[in-house]
Amino acid sequence: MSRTVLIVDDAIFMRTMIGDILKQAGFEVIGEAASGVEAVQKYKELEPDLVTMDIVMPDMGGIDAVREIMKEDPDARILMCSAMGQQGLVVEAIQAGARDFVVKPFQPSRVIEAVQRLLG
Amino acid sequence: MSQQDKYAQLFAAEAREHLAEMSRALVALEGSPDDRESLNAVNAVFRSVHTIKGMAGAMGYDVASRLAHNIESVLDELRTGRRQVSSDLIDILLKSTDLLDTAVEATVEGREPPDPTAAIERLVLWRLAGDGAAAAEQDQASAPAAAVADSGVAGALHAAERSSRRADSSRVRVDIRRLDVLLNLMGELTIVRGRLQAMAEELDSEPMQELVEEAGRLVTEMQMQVVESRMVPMWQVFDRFPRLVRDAARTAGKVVEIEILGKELELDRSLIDAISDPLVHLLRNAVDHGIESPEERERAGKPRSGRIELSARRERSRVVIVVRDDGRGIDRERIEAEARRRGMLAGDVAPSDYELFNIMARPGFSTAEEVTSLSGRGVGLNVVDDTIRSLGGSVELRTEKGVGTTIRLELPLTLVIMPALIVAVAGQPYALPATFIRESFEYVEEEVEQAHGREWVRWREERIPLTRLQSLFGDGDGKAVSNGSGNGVLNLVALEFGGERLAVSVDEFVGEEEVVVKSFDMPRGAVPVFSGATVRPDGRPALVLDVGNLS
Repeated sequence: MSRTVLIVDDAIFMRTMIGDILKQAGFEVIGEAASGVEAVQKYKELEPDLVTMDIVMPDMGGIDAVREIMKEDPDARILMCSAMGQQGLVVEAIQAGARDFVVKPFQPSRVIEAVQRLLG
Repeated sequence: MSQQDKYAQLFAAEAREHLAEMSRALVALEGSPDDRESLNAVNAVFRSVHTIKGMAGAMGYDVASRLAHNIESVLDELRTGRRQVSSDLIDILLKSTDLLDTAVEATVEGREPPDPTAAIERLVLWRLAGDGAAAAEQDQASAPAAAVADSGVAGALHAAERSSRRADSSRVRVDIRRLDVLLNLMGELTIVRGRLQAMAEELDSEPMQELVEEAGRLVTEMQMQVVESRMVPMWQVFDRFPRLVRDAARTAGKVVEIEILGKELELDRSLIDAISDPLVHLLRNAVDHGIESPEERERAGKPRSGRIELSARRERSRVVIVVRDDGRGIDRERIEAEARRRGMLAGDVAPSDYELFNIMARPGFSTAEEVTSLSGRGVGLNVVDDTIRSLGGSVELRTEKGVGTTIRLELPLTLVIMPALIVAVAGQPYALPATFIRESFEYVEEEVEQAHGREWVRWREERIPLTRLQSLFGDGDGKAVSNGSGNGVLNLVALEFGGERLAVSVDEFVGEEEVVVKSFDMPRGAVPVFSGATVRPDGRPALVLDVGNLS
């Protein structure tokens, strides 16, 4: 059975790109969210195996969303997708419970590696 | 479509949205009354430019990505409260946003993006001017040097071409005339469907009838879709006005706030296009000639900042757009003097608002003491007036010295779906727009009263005039007879229009329908009893009654 992923990013562009990368690697994208609030809600609803999480979003940023999801499910596996220059925020996200991060613009292979490592 | 193309299209569509959001939020930022709103605006710009940066990076669009990165860095300074917003900074940010827009468009179309060096330098310089941030800027300052290489003659050559080739990848541009043709074809299709239906009934085939019915539903649905495809929300024109007003105000050395109301209202595409220029003109006029300088306003006991309100609303089947300013008002004396000098005004009675407007709307009439780059070149109100008239609308002006000027545009909806009551008169169907209908009811013929040379009926404790449509459209007088064929009862509809009430008599109530109205271009002066026509589901046309002219 393929593993399920929830993609969180406020840009459709990014969601599509990450979705394509993951689908090609055999993962099942079961949901997308465009804000932190939506991410928390979809997480509860869909119980995905993994979440890819953007940091800067309207309606609750990625870091607060990580905190909320961890409250809900301390075993949640969340991969942060950060932009360059956001190291400080990445550290904060990891302290909040995120398992790993990739830096945009990313190589597909790096994303797949990170996802496989998290789910392995 | 390759995956790369797909991403490029997604990028283009989303980047454009974010660029529009940036412009909007930057203008909002400048006008923010308090810290909280201003922080919201900063955050909005930051998020949008951050998203563009991320997407451009993923696409490998270097120029857009670097420019976005530098804008983001400036926003970060504001976000963290290290630096404060100023008008100069807003200028820099708006210009950078424009350039980012240009870079995005160029890149999407596969051309050389413009050279961002100067813009990046301005952004970096602004940050360098901040205290203690200098060291961090070294890497930025050296980056622009490389960018010089990617500017080129090709980029400049393509710049002129660009505006005409701008295309939104998630949308298709369709000539409005095609939609007209499509709509007419839909009408024809409805007629064929009506005939099919009749044939199916004749054949007494149930499967056939079901099929025809299904086809009918699809046809109706398609017709609605075609009509709606022509409707666009007003914000498509309105959203660029805050920026326009802001720029005009800055050039004129004035402080102006603009409030926009009703921008969600949807209008036919052709109307939206046509009203854009007149509105631009009216807004510029308001900034340029209406609103006073901050000093002059203070002397007059007004707030330093002038106010322009642009509002749109539906009023019955018309759209009313109002541009109101709280400026100095139109100088009647000056206009009057100029008009007399030119022999455009006889007698010594002061002109009314209406006359004043007519004088000002004459081609070439302008009293502007100095011609500014913005307006007042004498190609002013007459263009506005002509355009609105050609759309079947009207323009009204109210002005009060020292208090301000209000210009009210009233426009028809050339093409609109509306709920209507279909009635039959002398065997023909007519559509009564439901918005004007208060009630349909039966009334005993004998209780019709005669007074002031016309007929009246009682309706809800009120006496309202009666118009018999049969006498307008049929042979008879519309009197209900109480013999073998009739029961002496009238079918009446109570209508209300502009505060006045009226009852009309019809032969039969057919039912309520959503109709697509095609407006008539009535010659000026003709008595317009009908505002348009519609094709009904059975394929027969029905005339739409212009309720305002029935009494």
